Amino acid sequence: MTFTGVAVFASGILLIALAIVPEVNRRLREDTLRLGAMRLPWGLHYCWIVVAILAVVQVLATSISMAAGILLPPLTDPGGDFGWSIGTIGAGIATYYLVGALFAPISGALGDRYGARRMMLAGGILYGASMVLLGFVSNLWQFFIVYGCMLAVTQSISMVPLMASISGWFRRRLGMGTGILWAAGGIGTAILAPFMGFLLEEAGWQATFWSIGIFGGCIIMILTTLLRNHPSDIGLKPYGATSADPPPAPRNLDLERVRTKVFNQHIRRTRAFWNLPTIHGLGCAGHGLVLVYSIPFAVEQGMTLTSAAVILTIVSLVSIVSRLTTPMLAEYYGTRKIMATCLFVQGATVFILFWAQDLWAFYLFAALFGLGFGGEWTGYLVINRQYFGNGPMGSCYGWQMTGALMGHAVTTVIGGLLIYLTGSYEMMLALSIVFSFGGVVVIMLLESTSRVLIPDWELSLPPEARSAPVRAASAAD
Amino acid sequence: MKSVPLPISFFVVVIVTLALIVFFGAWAASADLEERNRALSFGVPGGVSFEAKGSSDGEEPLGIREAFAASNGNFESDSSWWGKSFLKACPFH
Repeated sequence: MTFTGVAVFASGILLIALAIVPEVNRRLREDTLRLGAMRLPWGLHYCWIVVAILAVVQVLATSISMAAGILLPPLTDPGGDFGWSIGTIGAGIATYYLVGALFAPISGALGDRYGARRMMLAGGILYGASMVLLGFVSNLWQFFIVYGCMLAVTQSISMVPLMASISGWFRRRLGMGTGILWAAGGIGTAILAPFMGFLLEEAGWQATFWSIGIFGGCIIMILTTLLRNHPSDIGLKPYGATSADPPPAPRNLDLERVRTKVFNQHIRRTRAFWNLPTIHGLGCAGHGLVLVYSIPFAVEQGMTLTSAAVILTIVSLVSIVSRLTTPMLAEYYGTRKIMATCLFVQGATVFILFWAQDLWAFYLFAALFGLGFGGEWTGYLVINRQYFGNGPMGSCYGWQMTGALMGHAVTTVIGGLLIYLTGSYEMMLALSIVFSFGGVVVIMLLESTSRVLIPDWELSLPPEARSAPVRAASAAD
Repeated sequence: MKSVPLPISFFVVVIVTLALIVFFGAWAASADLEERNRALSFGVPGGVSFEAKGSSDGEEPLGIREAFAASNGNFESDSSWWGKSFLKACPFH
């Protein structure tokens, strides 16, 4: 009953939010004009403020998927309020990944259409409402609706269009921008995970998710006032832009719709468009299996739960190094080589687990695996730029996130089935290696990143929608 | 306009992954059923014992597929909907 009441209340808030959209739009425009007149100290480009905002959003959004592991003990505790089976919760988590995978391209397309700022506002409202509702969950169907559907949509909105928007802020050094973004997200996640566990133990289920929902939702909505969709919104050029670069594309809702449609038509005709989500899926399936089952495997090998939990801490901390450096190296040495190396390291280090008997072997595995894992998935924004140039990237990145989340969903299902069938972890580990090495093979099939695959896509646009209008003389060439 | 390249690697990965899910899912469902049949052969009530049914006529014990066919799809008490789907879809189980 309480849940229904809060659900009705949250729906009312959402309706009010929708009703005041014109007012919100007016306020957003006024904020933009005010910010445009402001100059940052020390000549700091506004792109770094955007990176900082998105890092905070990323930490909060990641806390949703991260919550899955932390939720297991209270949800499965037979003496607690829930007492659900691991299989049932696994189905809820698989639903979360599936819904997220299905919604990722939609949220990417919405981001291309309405801009990152409005998506962030929607994400903030949904984040607060969903987390508060999670605190009220008492039945299984409520868990499936709130965690499996609402939070999946929230994470999709918070991750896909917002992270894809970073591309427009950098003409050069996109690798550095995304590297800092992912690394900051990794540090935040490493801090937030134990904090959430602490809150659940000390404050209980409801207080934890109410406080996270209200605090996180408010932070996201406050940061919305500082985020801008494009540098041109505040009269700036992208970071690293020179006078030789083409001027920004015209900003008009109808023209942007045409640009997005034509751009997506062009990228769908490239092999890379299909191969990149495939690689992301294989990579995520490879590390998803290990991240989920490495702790129970270590416990089965005789480690204590506390020392086994350190494995994930080491993976998270070491991955910060490769999260930071991979996009930068990818920009200088080519993303294919770097991604293939990271994915190979991710797969090859799993072999250590077949012989691991002592704690040091598990920690060695965690350190090496973390290097591969952190670098395997952080190069996509860079490779998108290298392959597809400066077009609206939300939908494209959304499909790649679909691949990633499907990889996790498959992992949840197959990993559980394999352990159930064989009663051991060896087959699961072997499958993880197969997935990672499969990803390396598909990377080998990618085109070279030395040239843009669709350099002439804007020629299919009406002249007024092009970022660099074609002069009559050029058009006649 | 360039012709559309066939994303072979994409389709290969999708098909292999689906095949793996169906294979392991059917394996899990059949393992469940065998476990149940073994339990039933020791006299535990609560469902149809396909193994016992086959043996009582002096025939070979029924396999999973034959058992499924013999039940006329009436598997509610023995197998979940996903187990039935996997068994129907997998050619090896």
